[in-house]
Formats: sequence, C-alpha cells, structure tokens
Amino acid sequence: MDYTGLRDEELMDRLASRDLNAFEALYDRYADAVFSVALRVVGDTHVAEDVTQDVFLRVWRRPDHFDVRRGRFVTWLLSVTRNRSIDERRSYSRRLRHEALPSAEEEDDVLPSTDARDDPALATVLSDERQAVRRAMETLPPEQRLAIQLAYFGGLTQQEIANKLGQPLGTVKTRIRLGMQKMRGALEERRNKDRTF
Amino acid sequence: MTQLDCPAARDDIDAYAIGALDAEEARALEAHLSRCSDCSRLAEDARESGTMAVAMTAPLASSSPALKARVMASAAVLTDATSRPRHGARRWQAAAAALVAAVIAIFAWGMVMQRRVDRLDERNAALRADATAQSTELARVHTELQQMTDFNARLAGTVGTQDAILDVVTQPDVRRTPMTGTAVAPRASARYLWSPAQEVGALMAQDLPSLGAGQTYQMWVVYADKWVSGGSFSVDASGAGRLVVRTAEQGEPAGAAPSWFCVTIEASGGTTGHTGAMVLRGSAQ
Repeated sequence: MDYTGLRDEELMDRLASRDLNAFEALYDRYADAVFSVALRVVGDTHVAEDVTQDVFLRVWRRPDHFDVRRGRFVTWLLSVTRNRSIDERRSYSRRLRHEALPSAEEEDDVLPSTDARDDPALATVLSDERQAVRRAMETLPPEQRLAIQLAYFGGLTQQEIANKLGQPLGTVKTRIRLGMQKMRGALEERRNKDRTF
Repeated sequence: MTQLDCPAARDDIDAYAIGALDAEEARALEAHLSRCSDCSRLAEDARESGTMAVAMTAPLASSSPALKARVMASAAVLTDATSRPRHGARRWQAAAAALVAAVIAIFAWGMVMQRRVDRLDERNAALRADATAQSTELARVHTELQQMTDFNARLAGTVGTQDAILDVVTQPDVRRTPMTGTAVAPRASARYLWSPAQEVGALMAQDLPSLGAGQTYQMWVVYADKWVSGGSFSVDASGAGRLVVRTAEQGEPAGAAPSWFCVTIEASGGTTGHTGAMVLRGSAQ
C-alpha cells in the first residue's frame, strides 16, 4: 500500500492500530521540519536529534493526544516540538553552545536572506508556505523580528524580552502583536492562493 | 486574577500563540477564552497560523538516516513491549523480550538499509557499464569518421590526378609513349602521355610489383646528358599507379627534347639521381 498519498489525519488513524508503515510515512514527511525547529531552539545537532526522536516516539506512543478538531496535525506536531525543545534548552542550557539567540543583526550575518541553504529535495512539504513566511519574516522591522524569535525560539515571555532588551513591556507587546499579524497574514494569503488554484 | 475584557484578550492572543505570556497572563486569557467563543475562535486561528508561520522560519535542516533508524527501531520495540504483560515475576521476561526485539528491529532495519545500498550499487554499476559502452561506441564512431576523412582526402587526390591527366590528354600536341617492363618487372607496362609544348605529362602504369617498406617508384625524363626526376608514386593492390609530371618544375634543360622515359625503384621520398633498378622504360622518339 502506498502511504505517501494519505493525509496526515488518515496516517494518525492508522497509528492507533500500531501501523508502523504509517508512522514511517509521517516521519518521512515531517522529520526535517521537526528537526529544523528543534535545532533552531537548542542549537546543537545531537540534542536536536534527541528532541526529534522524543517527539516522534510520543506521537507513536500516544496518537490520541492529537485532537483533529483543534487544528492541523503539523501545527500540533511543531507546537509539541517547540515546547519539548524549550524544555530541553532550559534543562541543558549550560551544555549548549548558544546561551542566547543571536541578535537580529547577528542573525542577518549568519543566515542567508533566502532559502539558499535549503535542500530542494527536503522542501517538498510546506515549501510554498515556508518561503512565504520566510519572506514575510525578512520584511519585518528588525525589532519585531527579534521579539518574535526570542519568544518562540528562545522561550522567553514578553516581560523577559522587555528586561533583556531594556525596553518597556508595552513596546515589546506591540512589536510582537504587529509582527505576528504580518506573519499570519502572509501565511493565510499563501493558503488562500493554494485554495484558489 | 485579572479579569480580561475582549479588547485586552485580543491584544494577547498572538503572544499566547507563540508562548510569550507568563503563567499568570496565560491563566487570565484562558479564563476569558473559556467564556467567550468569539475570542476563543480568534485564539485558535492565531495558534493555527501564528505558530506555523514562525516555526517555518527555522532554516530547514536535514535529519540523518541514522536518526531515522534509531526512531524506527525504538518504535518497533515499543510496539512489542507494550503488547506483552509487564507485571509480577514475568517483568524481567518482558524486558528481555524487548531487548531481543530491539536487536531484531535494529538488525531488520539494517537489512533494509543494506538492501537500499545494494540497489544503489547495482544502479551505479549499470550506469558505469552504460558509460563504458558509450565510450566504446564513441571511439568506434571516431575511428569511422577518421577513415571517412582519409578516404575523402584520397578521393580528392584521385580527382585532382584525373583532372590533371585530362588536362594533358586534351593538349593539341599530346604524344603517347608506351613503356614496357624490364627483367625486374616483366609483366609491368605503362603509357606516358605528354605535351612538349606545355612540358607536362601523365603516367598510367599497371601490373607493377608491390614494394617493400621504405621504397617507392620514381619517374625519370631522360635527356641526352641528364636524368630529370618526374616525381615518385605508389601503386595500389592491383599494381596500378598514376603520376602527373611537370618537367618544367623539375629542372628540364631549356629547349632539349627527352629521349627516354624510365621508372626506377628508389628509397622512399625519391632521389635526385637514379640509383635503383629500372622497372619500366619507353622511348620518347
């Protein structure tokens, strides 16, 4: 049976009956996305691999934790990944190379401005959406981008970000709200285009 | 706990979606969402699109095949272990069985990976064989092309010789001198057509014997006191040879009439004075 054509939710249904092939299909579909988020948060390949393994084995052990009524599988999977990565980052922060995320300016120096580092073969899933949100992220004012990244990938609260940057809490809240509205807008616009075609 | 109204709640839902609220803020928002279906729907939308939008900005990195092997083997073990009794005196048996299952799973996964490697090896070998065959074919085509080029060159030379002979034959003062083979080549014969006015001639020989390596036939125009070379030529498999002679270019004595035409065997490249055996001769008178 060809599992590659099945939707995420159909594969998750099969996990309930311990279908290892369905699990492998989900792994193949999202392992790189999960690993990428974990690596972005923890900054260490070995720790990111441990997080990836843990996330997928959680899915395998308890597929019932995913509730299809609450949204897409990939959204839930990446949320689990992000939360698990933040926990790992806090637990092992002394072992990690990066105590803190780079600043927006430093990050611009480190990361390419486009998807040049991305392997096209890996980007078959979500590739259009990924490009759209990365373009949107690049167009954000640096202070909005930094606030969002410190929150999502750095696991900091708005108050912690305000303290770290020496900015009023209200300013940080505004930056996150405006930046997130643009990011969501870019993703929803992309999805609407997909629906149109 | 702070009671939020809708505008305050909606200000926080994006930060909530990416985990930027502290515990107290999150509890206050969740309390509002439990009472307000409109805000709850907006928060779901923010969670759905907001978290995805930010998560996908992480640079895409490739997970390793070894990690996949590890995850799949672990999943196989978990499947086996969770289906066995895990209580009482048999717990150690379950653990041992899980270990065995792990080994088997890892071995099985290794076999799968090995088969993939074998298939890639086979494809690689097939591609290399194909490349070799194409190289051989390319060499063959190149050889054929070279042979055709050589043939073309020979054909062009033959056509040039034929044109020159035709030019001699059509001269108004053309003369025809038969040449006969000597004791060295008794079966050989030739015709030499020549124009005294134009100082040009054409030799058409046949039945000449094949020569050894380093030898060639050389034509001579013999005057009373001088042998002038008319050039050297080779013969084909039937012993036939053609040569166009331009005596004016070879140092013919001014105003002198030739007495004999001869062909000798000389060293390759020809000589300035005849030294080898004579194979053909004909009287010019």
